[in-house]
Amino acid sequence: MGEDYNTSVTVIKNNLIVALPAEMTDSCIQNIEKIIIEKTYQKNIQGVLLNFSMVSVMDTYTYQAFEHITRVFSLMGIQTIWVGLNPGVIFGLIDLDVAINTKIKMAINLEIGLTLLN
Amino acid sequence: MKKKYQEADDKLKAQILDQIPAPVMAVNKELIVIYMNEAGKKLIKRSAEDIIGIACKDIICTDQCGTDDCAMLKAMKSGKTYASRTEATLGGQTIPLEFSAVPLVDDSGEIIGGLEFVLDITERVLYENRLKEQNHTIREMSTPTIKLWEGVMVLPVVGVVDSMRAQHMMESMLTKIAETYAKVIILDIHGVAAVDTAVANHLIKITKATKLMGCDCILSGISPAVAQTIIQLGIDMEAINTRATLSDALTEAFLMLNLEVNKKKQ
Repeated sequence: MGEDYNTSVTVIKNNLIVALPAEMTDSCIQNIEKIIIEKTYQKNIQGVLLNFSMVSVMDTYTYQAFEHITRVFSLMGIQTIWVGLNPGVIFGLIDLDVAINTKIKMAINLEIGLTLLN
Repeated sequence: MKKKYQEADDKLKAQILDQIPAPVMAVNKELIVIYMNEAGKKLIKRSAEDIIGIACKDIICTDQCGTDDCAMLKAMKSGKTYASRTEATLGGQTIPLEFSAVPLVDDSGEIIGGLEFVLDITERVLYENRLKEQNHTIREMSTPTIKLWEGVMVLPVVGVVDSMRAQHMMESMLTKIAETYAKVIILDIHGVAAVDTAVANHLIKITKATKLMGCDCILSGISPAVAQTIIQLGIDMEAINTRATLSDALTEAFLMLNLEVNKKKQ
């Protein structure tokens, strides 16, 4: 496990809730990816909620890394929902002209995200 | 050749300097005031005895006075003209000023002090502020995000969409979505006369941004002419949910939210 892995991962009713930290380095994202994919496989998880509400900065690489994770999960038959992206972060992504995958499900808060999963 | 007009003599020159409506002040190398014209005396409401021989920072109090930012010191050091804006406190009142500071040189070309030319820009600043306020008001008025139903917002757009306005629309929409947890937002472009590639691009960007917030965006108010132009320009709007009228969009929003509108049974 890497030293800069500072993410809380909770399991509720076969759903995995991942609260992402405010700032993530590239290696940190790789660690998160490794850990949550392992965990979903072990614990028979059906849905994953990626909570971005604490994330204050997001660049193209970060976006693509999480899109990659989402695709990996969909291959494993697990639904992934992105939750709580801040308006500021979205401005940044749009400004960077990131190719946004509109197939990914997004929700404004955890509650709505959970209802989307069920 | 005989000159038709004679140049003003020294006395008249001094009078001319005194009659300039803008304050002019000269200081020596130690920043002690050595000259002030009539307009300057009037502005600071002091007589000549009260001004000459006093450090300039004790007469006109600005934020730059007595610091390395002093334009007069900079002008004297570099021999160049410095123009800037500042605020001076005179007799308890704060006045916005625009000034130019130039080095004062003697016959041999050596710098012996500094000369400052000041303009009172109270009125101009007032106008500028009013203009800023008006701009702000217009911007606010041009991007109203209205709640139409529980979880449904509508943003009617009237006029021209440029990149600045698109940015404001996006800002207004995203903050409103974050506040209200809206699930559907309807962007009504009924009042937009012309849609070109740039405008369409802005609209696509906005829908993507709302999508990232977990809110679906429906584009409504697309008139036949606008639809034709979009197709003629070859813009790909497939990614956007589009409807002809606002009522169609609302019906679609109800469908998305699993709501049904029924007639009351008699």
